[in-house]
Amino acid sequence: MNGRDLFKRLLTMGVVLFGVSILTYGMIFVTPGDPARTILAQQMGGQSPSQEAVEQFRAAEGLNDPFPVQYAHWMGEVLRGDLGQSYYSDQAVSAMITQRIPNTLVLAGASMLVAIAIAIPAGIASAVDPGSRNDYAAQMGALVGVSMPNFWLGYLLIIVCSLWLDLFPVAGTGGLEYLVLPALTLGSGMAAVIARLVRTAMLDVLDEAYVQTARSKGLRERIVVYKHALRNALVPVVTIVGLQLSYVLNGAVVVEVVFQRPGLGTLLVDAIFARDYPVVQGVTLLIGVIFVLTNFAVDLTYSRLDPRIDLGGELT
Amino acid sequence: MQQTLSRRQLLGGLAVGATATAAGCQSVFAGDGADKESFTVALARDPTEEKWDAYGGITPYYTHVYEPLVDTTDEMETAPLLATEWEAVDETTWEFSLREGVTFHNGDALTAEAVVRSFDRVFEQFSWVPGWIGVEPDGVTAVDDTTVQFQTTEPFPAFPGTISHHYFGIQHPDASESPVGTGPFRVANVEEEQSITLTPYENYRDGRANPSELTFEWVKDPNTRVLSLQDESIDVAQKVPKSQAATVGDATGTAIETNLTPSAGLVAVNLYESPTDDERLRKALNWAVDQEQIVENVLNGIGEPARGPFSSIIPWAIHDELPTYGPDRDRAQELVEESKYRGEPLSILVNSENTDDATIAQVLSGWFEEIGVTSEIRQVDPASFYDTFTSGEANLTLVSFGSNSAACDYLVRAMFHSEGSDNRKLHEQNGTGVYNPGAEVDRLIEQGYRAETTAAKREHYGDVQQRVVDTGAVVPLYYNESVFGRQADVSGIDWHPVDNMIEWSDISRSD
Repeated sequence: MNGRDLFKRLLTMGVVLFGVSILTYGMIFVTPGDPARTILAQQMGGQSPSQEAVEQFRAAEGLNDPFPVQYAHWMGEVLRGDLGQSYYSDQAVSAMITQRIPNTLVLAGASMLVAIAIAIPAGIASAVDPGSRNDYAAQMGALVGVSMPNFWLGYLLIIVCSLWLDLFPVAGTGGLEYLVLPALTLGSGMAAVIARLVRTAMLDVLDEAYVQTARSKGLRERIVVYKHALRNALVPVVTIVGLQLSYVLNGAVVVEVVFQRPGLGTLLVDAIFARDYPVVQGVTLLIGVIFVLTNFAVDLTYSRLDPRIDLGGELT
Repeated sequence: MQQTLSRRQLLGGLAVGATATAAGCQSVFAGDGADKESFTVALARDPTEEKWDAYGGITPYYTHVYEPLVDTTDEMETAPLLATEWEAVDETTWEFSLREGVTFHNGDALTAEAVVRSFDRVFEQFSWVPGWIGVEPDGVTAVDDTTVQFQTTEPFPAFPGTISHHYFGIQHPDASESPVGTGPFRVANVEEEQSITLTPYENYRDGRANPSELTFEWVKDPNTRVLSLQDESIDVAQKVPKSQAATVGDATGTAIETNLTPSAGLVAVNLYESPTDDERLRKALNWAVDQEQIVENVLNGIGEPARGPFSSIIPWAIHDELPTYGPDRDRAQELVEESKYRGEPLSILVNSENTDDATIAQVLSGWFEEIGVTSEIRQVDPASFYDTFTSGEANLTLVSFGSNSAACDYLVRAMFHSEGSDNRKLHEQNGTGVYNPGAEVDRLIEQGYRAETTAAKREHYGDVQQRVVDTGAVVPLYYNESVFGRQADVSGIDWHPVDNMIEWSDISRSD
């Protein structure tokens, strides 16, 4: 990628992020619901706030300004590197994100590892011997994995592994023991999707001429599968792993709640329900950045896996 | 020299990194069930989040680090706490005499100046608070070392009850030493977004609290709170789902506590939207509803069947004197036929946050169907709920309303006065409101608001309740009970109608 391409790419990213921010801000602005009343009721321990209190809160937070004024004010702050203050906690949004992001990254990373550790061997085992018991077992496993809702699996794992077997703590954050059940919960769903894709990709690749050539040269099947076929089969898998990032962030909300791991997912959902605009905007923008960068990373990985692909995704 | 990582090295590095990051975090469950004097309470809300700078970063609820001037009794009446007595010097001036011998956790004595500074600090951070308690921002002054004066903007007989809310816990004037209060517990440790750990304040005037350590953990998910209780990682779980109360109560190691709260669930009937503007139809709806069935079958027996819009625990509620309607669906059907109702569906608005309300709405809809009234249920998210309700968009709205202090007057004003928060928008717009029954009720509410004794309030607010029930402005449903789970061997908790005010000083664990 030359400098011009990189510049074009960065410009596109900027436009995408601007679009994301204006859409999110616009959507939450037109959604019915008054942040002042919602947040005050929470702060007052559930007691309903008076109209005077609500009006004073709205004035203090600039909530009576029209949409363009509020958005321009927020964007001005962002361009100066300030994501604003939460209406709810009065904390800096950047500090809230910084506090939560390690939990989310650890959970996402561990879940992805679980998913890959299950999916790639299962997908390969399924593809090398289609129609075998291994194949049926892997496909059945994938079906079950895809079908099980995260919250259900989470509670099931807690009941079996924490209450019955006393192997792991019920919930919380801490050492590895706190990570196992959430990572299994989130990773198993992803594993199912990835395993099915690995199987399909491997089946395609194993039929290709260069694989047949490798076999005919007398290479061991293990070398053929792992050295020659798997590398090319991983190209579509990398895409789906990249796309699974959205699954991690969506699924993380449920897993974070069930296993009491405060992360970005719950921060965003709570902020939406409280109409805490600065937090919603800050987290959405961050998620937008993560997605844009992930797409970029996926493109870079393509060209490493298959040098025929340039960064525009075209075969050269 | 350029060094490249193999895939194996990269994965290994990621795993080590993840482990190290995870290990660097703190555990949320600091509770140790093996320690006889150490207790962990799981809360549904984060006790460290929100805007608690004015309170040293911790919630003023539950923890009893801070104490207000006025206490709220189990009967929802005011009682002395940091103030021993108070009186209205004139219509807009209140004087409170401070208890002697009270010290802050750092040993400093409680003074009138400290009380003034504490209120000022709250006013500085929350500009809306003076309006809430009806005091001018500079209306709190020290008369002498032990007397504090409050200047209200207008006559406000409910003022002492209003400042019994935990928002008005008194803090030490030196904010740099925060959080420092006068309560039976002092703060030992705060884990942001996780927990607050307290230890007893040794020099507390009523003697040292029993637990050597008391931790409030945030466990948001109700099912996880129950599972943590069953796993013995916590001692007490707040807000156990009513659907799981029987399971927790029947298990060998755990028990359930339920307490009547000052909150009631009811159907607010839009008096100004057709066809519920017809009193005969509203009465028919009342005749169709079986409150006992709702409590037994939807709320799993937790709660009390309601006869009025205010919980029977509120001193001026006239629960036993209110008329009842039924259930008598034949009578209801007759009234429907007499009314101008012609088959159009009634809209039932429900807050999606409250799963019980969604089920209740389904049950109500079934009963209404039996008397020939069709209905459509509309669920909206919590932040949109209030706006949708006060815009008068629905015929029927399931609301739940309660007080967090001894001053419950605001409930009757907000709900039924034409300028109360529920009615104000439509009253200002088109002179109606949603469910205020009119000028005579406004007058009664104003008289009750100004009344100085509970007996007088009961008389005026009692008339309001009679009229509201008589005209079918509401369909009363249930008086809410809070549900706590606890380990069976844990006792000594002083339960309170307002769960924020539960006392933990005598909590203990049997052998």
